[in-house]
Amino acid sequence: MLDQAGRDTPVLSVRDLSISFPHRSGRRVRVVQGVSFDVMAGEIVGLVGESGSGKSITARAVLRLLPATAAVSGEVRLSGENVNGMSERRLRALRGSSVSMIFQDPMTSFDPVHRIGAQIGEAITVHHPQRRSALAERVASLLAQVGIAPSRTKAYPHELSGGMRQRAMTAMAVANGPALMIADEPTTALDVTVQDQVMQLMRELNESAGTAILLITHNIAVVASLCSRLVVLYAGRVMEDGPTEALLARPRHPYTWSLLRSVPRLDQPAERLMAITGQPPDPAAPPGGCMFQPRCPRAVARCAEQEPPLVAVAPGHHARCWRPMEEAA
Amino acid sequence: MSVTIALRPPWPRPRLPSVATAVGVLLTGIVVAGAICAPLLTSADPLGLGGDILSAPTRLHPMGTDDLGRDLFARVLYGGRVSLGIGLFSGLLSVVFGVSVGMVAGFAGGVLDEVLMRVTEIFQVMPKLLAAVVVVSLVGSSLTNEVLVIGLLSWPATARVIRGRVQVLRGQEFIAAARMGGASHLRILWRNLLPNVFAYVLVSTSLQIASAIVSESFLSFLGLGDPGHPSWGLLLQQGQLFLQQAWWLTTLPGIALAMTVLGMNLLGDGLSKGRG
Repeated sequence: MLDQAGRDTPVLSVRDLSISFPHRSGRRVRVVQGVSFDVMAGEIVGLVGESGSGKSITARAVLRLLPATAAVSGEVRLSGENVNGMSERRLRALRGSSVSMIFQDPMTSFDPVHRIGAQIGEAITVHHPQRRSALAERVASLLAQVGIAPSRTKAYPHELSGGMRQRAMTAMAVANGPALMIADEPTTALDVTVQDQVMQLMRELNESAGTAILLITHNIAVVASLCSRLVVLYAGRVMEDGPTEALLARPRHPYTWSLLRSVPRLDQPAERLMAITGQPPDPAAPPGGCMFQPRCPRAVARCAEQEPPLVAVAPGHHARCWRPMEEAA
Repeated sequence: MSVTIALRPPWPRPRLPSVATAVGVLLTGIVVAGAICAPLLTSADPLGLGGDILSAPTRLHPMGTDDLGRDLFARVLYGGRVSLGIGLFSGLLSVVFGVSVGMVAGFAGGVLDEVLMRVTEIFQVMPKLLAAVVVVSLVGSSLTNEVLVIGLLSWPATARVIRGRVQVLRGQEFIAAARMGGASHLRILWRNLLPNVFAYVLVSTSLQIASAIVSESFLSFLGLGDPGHPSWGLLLQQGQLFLQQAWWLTTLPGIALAMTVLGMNLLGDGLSKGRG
């Protein structure tokens, strides 16, 4: 899709996104609160957070894939176009063509009763009807691009390995040359060697086609080498965002710091890994003040009284903390 | 998130059918073949009167004759066409209706689901055969009326089964993936959901046809069938007057009916086990 407003318009712009669901108590529970971020053309942005931090919900809200019970406020713009006011028809035209999505579980994201090639072909014909022969060629070349032999177009999903399925899913996601690809934990269900293949594939697609990628993950180590910027979510809030390098080298938010300390790293001498004690807050009964305060090693009285705003700590680098960390971790 | 999904095909590998399924296929096959090949198997006219009244089975009349001298073998074969035909069409009608309602209700959820399911329940609590008797006596008995009445009274079971399956499938990622690919609701229903519930549709169809044949026999037995097209139920009704003198008039059409229903039920069970 052509970017009418010029290169400076983000392919995806999320402003003050809040999402709530009805809870059995009768009240509505906010699972995402005031989330804002941008993805520029050709950029890879990592959306990082642990289970329940609201990252998948945020991704689904981008294309209005949430169930009808979800109440969404805030603004989501795709290449400048507001998604919230969009007609169902316009949304369908965007889904799969200018924005595509890769799901977490490659076991269930293909329809079990249709052949792989037919499903990829259908993803194309939904948006660009074309002749059978041309379509078959296109499908074969897409699969070749992700390293799957053309003979496998006739395979059913259960006949492929998890890694192959995720690569086939990726082929389907780029079939219509999207400006943005949303990858929701694309490697979580795969083993480590295959994870690396899929990540390499994403990087190649990003470099060759200039596809912007929003990479959603709980594993900060996996995305570190791939993303130019990271957005760290906790309990539905952006805790910190900034350029990957700065954020990894000098995390300002204690949560980011704890996250980094909880994964083993090869590039630094072995240290004792630190687990983050406690549990993420129950969104139905949030703690007072900062969401991370009950688990935070640096918490002071003020943290429990008032929720800190997201403020700039360096150019392009923000943290939501009353006592941002100054020293390198 | 831990993933311990076994690599398993969505359906079991092809294997030999069980004895019960084979018997089901055989019984159903015999009955269907008999009905289709009726003119080849007998030269007698099922409606043609004859002088030989209430004759026991002989070489000339393999199943004997009735009180008007009509050849029972011909009547059973041609009656099979009527019974199976009504069973087939009303069974299909009920399945098409039930699957449509079930898929829409399961996929749409919310208010539409509520409304459709309450309507389904209303049909389900109606005593089906009693309602059929009332409607047929009001609108008159013809083959078309019988098909419509039986078909439109027997869809709730199918609707509920299919709705349940669709509710499970709806939450799976490939449906989200299809939506994400820009597929419309109708396309998802037709291309993704229908093929995935098709095993259930097949099972439902064979059971519904069997049940429709029984319903039709019941209506005919009460004299609400189409007298111009004698079905097995009508044969039973006419034969029961002579239960003491001519056992074959009720026993033989009864066996044909029992074979069909047993065969189709075994077939349906076999299909439903194979769906895995």
